[in-house]
Amino acid sequence: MGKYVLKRLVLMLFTFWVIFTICFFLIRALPVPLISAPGSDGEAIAREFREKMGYNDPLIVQYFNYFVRLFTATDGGNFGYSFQIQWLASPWELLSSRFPPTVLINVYTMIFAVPVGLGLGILMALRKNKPEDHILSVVVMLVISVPSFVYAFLVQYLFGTVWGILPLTMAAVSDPAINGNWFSPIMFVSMLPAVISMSFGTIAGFARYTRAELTEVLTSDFMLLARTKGLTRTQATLRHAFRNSLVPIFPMILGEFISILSGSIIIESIFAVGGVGGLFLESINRRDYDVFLFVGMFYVLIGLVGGLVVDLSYGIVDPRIRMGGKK
Amino acid sequence: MKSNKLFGLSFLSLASIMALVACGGGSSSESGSGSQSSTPSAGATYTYNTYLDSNPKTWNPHAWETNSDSYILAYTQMGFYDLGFNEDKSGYEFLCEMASEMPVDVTKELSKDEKTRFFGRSSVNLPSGVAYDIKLNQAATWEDGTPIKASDYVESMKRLLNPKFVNHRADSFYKGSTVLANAEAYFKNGQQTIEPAYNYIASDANLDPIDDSFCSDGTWFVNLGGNSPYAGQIFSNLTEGAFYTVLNNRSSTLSSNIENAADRITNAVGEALIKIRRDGWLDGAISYSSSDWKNVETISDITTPSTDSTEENMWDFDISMYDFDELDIKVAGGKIVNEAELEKNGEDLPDSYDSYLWEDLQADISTFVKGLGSPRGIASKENSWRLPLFAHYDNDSADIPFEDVGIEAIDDYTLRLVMAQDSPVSLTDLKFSLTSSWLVDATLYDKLTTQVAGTNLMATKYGTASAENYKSFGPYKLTAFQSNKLITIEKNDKWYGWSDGKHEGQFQMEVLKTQIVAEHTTAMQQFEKGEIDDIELTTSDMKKYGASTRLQYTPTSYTQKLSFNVTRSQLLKRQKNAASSSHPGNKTILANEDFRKAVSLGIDRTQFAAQCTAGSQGFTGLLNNLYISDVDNGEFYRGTSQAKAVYNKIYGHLGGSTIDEENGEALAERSRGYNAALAAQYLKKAIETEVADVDNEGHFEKGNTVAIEILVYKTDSETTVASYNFIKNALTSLAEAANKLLGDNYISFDYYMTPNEDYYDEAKKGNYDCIFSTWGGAQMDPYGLMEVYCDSSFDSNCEYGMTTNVKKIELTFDYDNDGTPDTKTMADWYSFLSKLNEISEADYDMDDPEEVAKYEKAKYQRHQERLNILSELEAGYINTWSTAPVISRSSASLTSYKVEYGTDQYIPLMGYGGVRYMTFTYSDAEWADAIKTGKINADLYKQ
Amino acid sequence: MAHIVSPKDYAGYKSDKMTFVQQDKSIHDVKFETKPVSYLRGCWRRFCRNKGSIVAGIILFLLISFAIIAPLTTPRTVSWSDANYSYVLPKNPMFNGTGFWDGTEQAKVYEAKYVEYLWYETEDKPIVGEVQTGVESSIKGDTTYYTFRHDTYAIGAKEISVSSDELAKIQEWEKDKDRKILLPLVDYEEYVDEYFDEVEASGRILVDTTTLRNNMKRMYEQEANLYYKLQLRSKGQQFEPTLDSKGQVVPLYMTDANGDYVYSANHDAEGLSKLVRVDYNVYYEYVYGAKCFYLFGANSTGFDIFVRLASGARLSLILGVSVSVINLLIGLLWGAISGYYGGTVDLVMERVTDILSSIPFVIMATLFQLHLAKQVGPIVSLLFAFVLTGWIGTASTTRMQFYRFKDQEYVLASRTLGAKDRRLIFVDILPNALGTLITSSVLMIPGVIFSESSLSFLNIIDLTNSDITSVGTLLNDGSSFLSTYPHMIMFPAIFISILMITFNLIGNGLRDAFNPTLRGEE
Repeated sequence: MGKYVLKRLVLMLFTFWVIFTICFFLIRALPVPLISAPGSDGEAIAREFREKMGYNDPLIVQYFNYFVRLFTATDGGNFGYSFQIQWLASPWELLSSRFPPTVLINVYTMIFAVPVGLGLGILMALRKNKPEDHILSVVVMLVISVPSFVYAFLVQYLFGTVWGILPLTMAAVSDPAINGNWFSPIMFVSMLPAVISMSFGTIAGFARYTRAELTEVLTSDFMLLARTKGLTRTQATLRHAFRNSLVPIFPMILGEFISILSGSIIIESIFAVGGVGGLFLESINRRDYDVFLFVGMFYVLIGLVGGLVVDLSYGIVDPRIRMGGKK
Repeated sequence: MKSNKLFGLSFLSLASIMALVACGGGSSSESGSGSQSSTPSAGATYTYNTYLDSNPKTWNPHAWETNSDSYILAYTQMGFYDLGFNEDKSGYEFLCEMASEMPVDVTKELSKDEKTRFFGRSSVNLPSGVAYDIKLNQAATWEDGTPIKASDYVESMKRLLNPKFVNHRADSFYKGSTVLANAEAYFKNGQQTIEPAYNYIASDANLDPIDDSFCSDGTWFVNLGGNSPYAGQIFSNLTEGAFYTVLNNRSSTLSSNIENAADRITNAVGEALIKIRRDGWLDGAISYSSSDWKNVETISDITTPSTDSTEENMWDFDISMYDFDELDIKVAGGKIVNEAELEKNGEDLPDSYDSYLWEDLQADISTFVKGLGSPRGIASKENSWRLPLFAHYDNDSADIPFEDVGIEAIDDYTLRLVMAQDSPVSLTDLKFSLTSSWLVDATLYDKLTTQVAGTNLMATKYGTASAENYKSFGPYKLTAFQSNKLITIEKNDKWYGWSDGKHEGQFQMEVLKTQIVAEHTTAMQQFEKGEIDDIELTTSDMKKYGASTRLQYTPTSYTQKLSFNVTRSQLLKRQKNAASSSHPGNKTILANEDFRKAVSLGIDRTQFAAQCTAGSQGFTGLLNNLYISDVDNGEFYRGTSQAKAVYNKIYGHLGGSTIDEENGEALAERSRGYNAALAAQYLKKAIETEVADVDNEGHFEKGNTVAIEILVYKTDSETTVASYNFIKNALTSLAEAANKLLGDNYISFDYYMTPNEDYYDEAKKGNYDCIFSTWGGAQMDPYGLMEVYCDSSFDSNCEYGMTTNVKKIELTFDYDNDGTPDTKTMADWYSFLSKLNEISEADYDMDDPEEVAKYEKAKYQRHQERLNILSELEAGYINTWSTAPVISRSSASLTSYKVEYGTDQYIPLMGYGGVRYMTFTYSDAEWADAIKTGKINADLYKQ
Repeated sequence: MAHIVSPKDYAGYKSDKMTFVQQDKSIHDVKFETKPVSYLRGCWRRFCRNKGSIVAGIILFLLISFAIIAPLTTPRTVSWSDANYSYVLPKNPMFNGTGFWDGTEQAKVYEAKYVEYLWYETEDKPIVGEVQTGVESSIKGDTTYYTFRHDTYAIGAKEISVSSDELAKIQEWEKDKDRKILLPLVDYEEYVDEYFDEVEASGRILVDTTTLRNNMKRMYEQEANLYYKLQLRSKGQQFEPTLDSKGQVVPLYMTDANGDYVYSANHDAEGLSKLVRVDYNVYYEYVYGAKCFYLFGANSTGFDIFVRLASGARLSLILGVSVSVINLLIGLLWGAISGYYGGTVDLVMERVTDILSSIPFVIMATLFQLHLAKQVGPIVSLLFAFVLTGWIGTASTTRMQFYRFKDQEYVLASRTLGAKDRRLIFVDILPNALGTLITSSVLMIPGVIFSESSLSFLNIIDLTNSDITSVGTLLNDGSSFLSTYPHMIMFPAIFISILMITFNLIGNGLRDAFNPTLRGEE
């Protein structure tokens, strides 16, 4: 097992490097858009700036220089600087300053939505093909079939404007009323619209998936055996069926946890969260090279580590699965 | 909110990138319902809530780029002067803010030492308006109470112009109206540029370079089209300083050896250009990138440039003199062998020829210059051949000390600004440009400065990321900056204005909270709920709120135009490339003037403005209603008879005879250049010409689809999509009408939109069929805006292939009094115009009434002359039909009932008075109460 | 110890003495009397037995038919738009005057708008039915409001330009049908100047009135329904009608020397084009032969949502199905090989999937759009982006199923019996996974449509060209008008929901059908 993990780690680094290289070349091949009017001196200055930044060097030279800087910079600019999003900010600084709201909103969503989703899924599976199941299935389908920005707008309009019970946008932590406390009640309430909007999809997704998995397990032979050997329906379901259906569901929860770090660009934009979701997109759209690479690579790394954990978790959740063995 | 800072930007491109949040202020009708008092009550807090749709990346006064970047500066800084209402609020006047009195012209008082420092010579004769002293306001302090002294301004300027920073705002003091002595040279330290050698040659020696640094690598470049002051010296009336023009305009009485030398120079350079093009010789190419060269298909014409050949701008091409040693240019019998011509005619090269090397070129130039240079007494000089050439100028070693830049602190509270010798500035212009400030806290600035790893570039975090990284000195200070979320600005207790008695009743706002809200729908709902106090409206909002009494229009100086690619060769190439793409079709027809005329005539601008914009107006000119041609008398350019005639000069002649007075110019103008039937006829004409033009490769054939690609910055804005659809519909009906006229299906359009964030750059390379280009300039300088249309450095920026130094227009105005109308290129007219200054009082004895009358008359005449040229240029440019102006831009916004602006009429340059004159009808508590009791709702703004 | 039977033991038996034990009894455990059913046929049978799936299939068929047929039922094309009719509500002429699906809405307007509506001089009036007035109290004080049914199609007068031939035809049509298209032109230019000269002279406004003049001219210019005198409101920049002593508006019709109304004016010296003011609804009837109506309403630029939904659905379905099929094929093969062989093969293949799947989809889609869209168009590059990483889900499900099943006893048994790898993969193990895979592939179709709408919301992909549209783009377009013009988002949302549900029901049906454990179950 230990050897296997080690092997996976080495491979992970290799993967990481490949992706880094691909992204580096793909993004640097795109020129930084000019904001200044053409023909003006502002344009000349912008061009001079790029020249000095080395953006006009051949890509391979830029690639090499990136690594040189990575290991030699002494002023904290190892990962470069943002020049398009926040002047001279290190990508790390930029990312970490946008983290708190994203993580909070997503954690709240998880805490609320995953149990509800699982519960609904179990209910639907147990009541399969009964009216409850049909109604819930249709509702779940409806929820899944409409993109999240539609709910987000709907939630905002209904809760914020029509009923006026929740704020339209997330509060700002720098507001004196909040006083820098991310956990203050005002802050929590102002996050609710975003949490509600995000929960729709998560609940529906979990409910559907759990239903599907559990239904399958419930029809397997060992369930028949369990009932035959005298277990009650509840006992059988909880001890055997649910545990088995967790094999695919558990990684899903894990995956959901990992994906919370990236935030939802759409929801963050609608509720003016100012979180990390848009950073990604902003950096790619504005060609903030260093930020794009840093943030992008950060997610790639999270994804890779997450993937490894998920894979290993199969072995723990379901002992029948042996990792790495042939046949 | 504060729009009067905007004139600091002399030129701006399409404002799609710039997030301009609800500028201007509120008009209102019925204010308050009686229960609210309009005078501020003691103890109440006045908070203004607003939003920005994008996060400022920096508000460092030296580095900001977009409008949201400069947003914070508008509140936390104060210029030396600011604009305020005059007494009856009917116009503006200058107020002293950071300065204690108006600038004083001290040009005459400059010491010898200063003259040597700034102009290189102690005995220089200076025009007035070169040096000004500004007395500082001694009560002005930073937000922490430290006094602001003259040396702070000098230190700030040193950092602004520091070449290691490559500051984006550095050009404010070496371009435009305020050009500080030596500022450009100082800023460009460390950059390598190719510049006219003439600039760097001492006038009296053997024409040797001023010092060794000049042309250190010994490479000289020949460029026939590039601007060189030398040419202007040789021909005093020559406004376009190109060597080619000198060669071309030479007097025919010259001796034959000079004639021959001139011929050889032109032909050799032409041959060189062909070879560079054909054989991929690009080492010498500096002023154009290799891709530009690839775009030129037929360069064989280049040796005999015709006046309308769009390739002629390739004369603006630097060729290293050494390249002539390898380019293998042949000379036989004293004439350059035109290989391209021979090849074309299938003839062989002459049997014997010599190579034309760089020494030969040097000798020819020398001969020519000696022949023509006598007026200036340089004919005998040994190195005169250098005069028309260009050289690689290594700014690094020039090493101008900052002391030579035209700014100095005379004492603690006196600042002296010295302009470059040839750029005196008028008092008004100076005051305008000093309404914004470059002041930074040098200590903090340096503390936050760092060397960018991996480069030799310096950068500072001053004015970035946090309120700690910035020091305010305006009526407000930045107290909190939460990136991408909230900007909090509060009253600056240390500001001098609260106690100096000059600001009574001004700046009533105490707190300004600015949220970053990217989603317009979200902002709209916040506004309706009373959470924010202004909102910029979109086209669709206008349907709902168009009748609101809280609606304000803020006109801008921008004209939005549809610009076309007019170069046939480039279009042909694009057409070939497009053949295999998802939008194949004919493009060359765009080079046909009648075609473009048809498109322009086919756009219903009024409908366009109504359906695609919020508050803009259909427009057919280049300079809109906002420009003031005479600041002192408040004369609007569009109100002058010259400008009024522009419409008829363009549209009046179309379709046959001119529109007669009886029919009414006004009624014709009401169509705003829209004439569907005439458009169809022009399209028919264009089709017939193109179909018949079988010799031209890729010409339009019957049944072809014309594929027009419009480049846009982004496709996510409502306006862009609506505009696109509008033009598309217009083209469709145009094609239908033309087909009806032609009696068969001749033409159809495939109009498609491609987003490109770098579209101006693409446009410059000619990689487009059409774009929306939007130019605007300083409102009080309509003449200045013509630079973007007439100056050759702006060529091809929007209308690809529109080369102003080639396009000649005839003016009915006889400027040289020879009894005939005069013809010049647009570039020449522009440069003529910019040298045609207003008559100055200094030349007349203003105590003598007779002289005064003379002065008045001369002044009036000069002003009319300037207007004549301006209006002719405007009409002339549009008459090339390379562009179709569509709208004059305005924005529309709503302001909440919480505040009232100083005026409810838009006042040029002042807008609605900005935050200075904004008064609060409701305090925070009262406003919160009104929200709670349901007195504020969305319906409120529909009334 | 078992007793071993040897041939010797049977030596003394005689066959004719033997009888079958169960000769006269029925045998229960011999052969199934039913015919053996192939796996696929069994699946089909089970699928057909699922009523939900069948209904869903029929609905899906209807939706697809809608996508194909709907555009054929109307002369309007997907790129046709008439911005004059932007935002009009859904209207079906059959329901005219019923208040339902007739393009009218209950409106609440205030003085300014009300007066404007009241003085419409055109055939169709915006105010339908009774007007009720009320007073509400707000921050402004008490204001009067008017409520009535409002016909969104009554857009009134428009100034347009027609050729002189066209003008003659219009006049002929007017005579034939005895209806009025042309309205008198409005002569506002002079009035505006006169009015403001007066205002300036009166000293009411001190500043230069150039901007205000412009505003008023713009109002007249852009709103052809204003044929009467306007005046400045007491404060601000807005204008209101000047009412005479009788409370009537004062028309500003253009008159000729004889005092007759002028109905057309030359645009140019030759009179090729004429400026006319038309009752736009009647003019529309003249041009298209029938009154304007939009079954599903119009969007912000006046596009027909009905046509665009059908065409968007077509594109979305094609995109969804192709992505799903391609992904299924790639994923199945990849996952089966990787999962079955394990070891090095698995590791190497996992590397590739790791690399691909670790690149976040948003980045992938964006970079594809930025690099590829110009060459191959946004749709194809989107397809690439979906396919590049889309199959990984299928592959990993397959792989996981293989890990789950490949060591199970029946597989071992099959292997012992000499089954080859190919048989083990495709016959023994794969059918176990097939249910999940088919379900997920079918669900991938709406998933793709869904992702596409998110991407278009983020403006990563760009289908704003009016020739192509997708359901996602329509949803995105409508989302910002949720509170004001909900019909814009309603139809696409309903469509995508039904589509999703049907796909899902079919997916469920398929999964049950493919589930091998249900084999033979009656």
